[in-house]
Amino acid sequence: MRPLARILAAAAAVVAFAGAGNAQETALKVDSLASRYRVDFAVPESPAFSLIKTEESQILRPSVVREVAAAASNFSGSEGGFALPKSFGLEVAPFLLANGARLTLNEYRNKHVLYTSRVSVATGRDTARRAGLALALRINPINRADPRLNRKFIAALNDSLAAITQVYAAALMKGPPPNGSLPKLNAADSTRVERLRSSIDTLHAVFERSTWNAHAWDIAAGVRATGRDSLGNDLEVGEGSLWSTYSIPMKKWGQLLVGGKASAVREYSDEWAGEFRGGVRGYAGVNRYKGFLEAEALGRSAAAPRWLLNGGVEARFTDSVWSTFSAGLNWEGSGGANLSSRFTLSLAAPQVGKK
Amino acid sequence: MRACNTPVFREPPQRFRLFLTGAIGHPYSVARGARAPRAGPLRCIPSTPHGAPLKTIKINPAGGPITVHISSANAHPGTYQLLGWDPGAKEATWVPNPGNFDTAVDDTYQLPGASGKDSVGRVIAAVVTLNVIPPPQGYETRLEVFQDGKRLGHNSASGKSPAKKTLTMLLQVNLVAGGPQ
Repeated sequence: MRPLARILAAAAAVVAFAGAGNAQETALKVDSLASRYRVDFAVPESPAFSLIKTEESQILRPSVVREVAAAASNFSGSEGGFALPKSFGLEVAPFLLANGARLTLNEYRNKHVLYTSRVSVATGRDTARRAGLALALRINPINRADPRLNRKFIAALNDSLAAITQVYAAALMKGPPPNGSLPKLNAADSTRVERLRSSIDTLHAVFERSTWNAHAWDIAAGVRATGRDSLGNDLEVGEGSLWSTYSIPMKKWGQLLVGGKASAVREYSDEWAGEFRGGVRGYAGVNRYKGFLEAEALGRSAAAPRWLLNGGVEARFTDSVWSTFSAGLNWEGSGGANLSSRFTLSLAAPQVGKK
Repeated sequence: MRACNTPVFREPPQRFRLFLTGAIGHPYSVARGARAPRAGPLRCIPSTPHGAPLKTIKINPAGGPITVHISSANAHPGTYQLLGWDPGAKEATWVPNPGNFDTAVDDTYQLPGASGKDSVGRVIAAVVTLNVIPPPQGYETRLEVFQDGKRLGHNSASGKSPAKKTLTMLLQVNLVAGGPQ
């Protein structure tokens, strides 16, 4: 499918989900809708965005760094129709953006934690229509899905790149100095170069497939401030949070995430309360399409513990557009279970090299 | 001078170059609202889709031996082969071992000869093949010429978000007498 057609299909899906979102909570037709989509684990959802939106599950997911990523959610209006997003998030890798033009492969490797660090900012309104602003920093101490850090992958890549270089060099060295342009290759050499280029594309595809669930560790910290009204007047810090998530591969088809989030939250009474979330999430699928199941516990000072059991699907329509649909049950104290569902559409700058 | 994909364009006068390079978009585009400079002579810059035109660099014949350094920015992996031609040579006379941007080994090479005089008239070329792994989307490769620890000049090829992620390009310099004494 052409990229534009995919984006249009995704947009149509958004509208369809926006209309169906509220209905799911009462009709329990989760499976029939969910079956149309599966996951991309590499979604770089920004921590700041996570602070702003009222997400049921707040486990932070490790992902591949991107220069700029933006996400928008809450497309459903009060009547179940389509509405403009109520929240917006932006994420940048400042050191990569500032120094990328001078950065060598070795410098990137030696300081990859610095160059893959990301700063995110998000704005939005809460249920009381008060405007909020969140800022966060996220680092990746371990990320085995990063192709630049994988020496075996780079070595294999270099073999093919060197072979292409030598085809051109061989055509040059037997003649006088070139006139500023590469030599024209004969048919056999052209075919060889094209094959080598294809082998490089295949190498990337195999790497992406084999590392979607690789070991990775993400750490993030952020603060959220909320205003007195919808314009964000008298902003006041309302939450400070620290996340840590580690992902462990389960053979080739699955991934296990273990994570936690510790927060200090300002109550309506203006007093601060401590909060801790711990969770485990299991993924199954391939890089573009995945299903997940998660369990989470929430402990909060002077409040009953809360439990969450959630399941859903993620689907990547293109390298830059993907969505998540989830539904689950949550229990608070000794009360009964509540059902909730959520749909999120995410956008980002194009990812790893395709031809 | 950066390589351009348009084979023929009207180059602006030299005195406007810095000003125009600062504009957004094409290196020679004019910033919105700015007065367009008088166009210079129509000139064709020879360029491959991913390469740079031959550049002349002045060296000091009485100085020390010449060294060249090859580099790739944006942390993209790549490999290269340097080649050198003595004046009038019908084929390459200097072919060092191929290299890549992966190892921590310094990608600096000394040209044969004990002094700058030995390199006068030489043509040095670098065939570079890069694999662009975003981010960043852009790429830049650079061939720099040094003598006695001083950088005499460079030739480079750069671009933003190439359609093909595996690029082969040629960087070339012509060494002539006349550099700093």
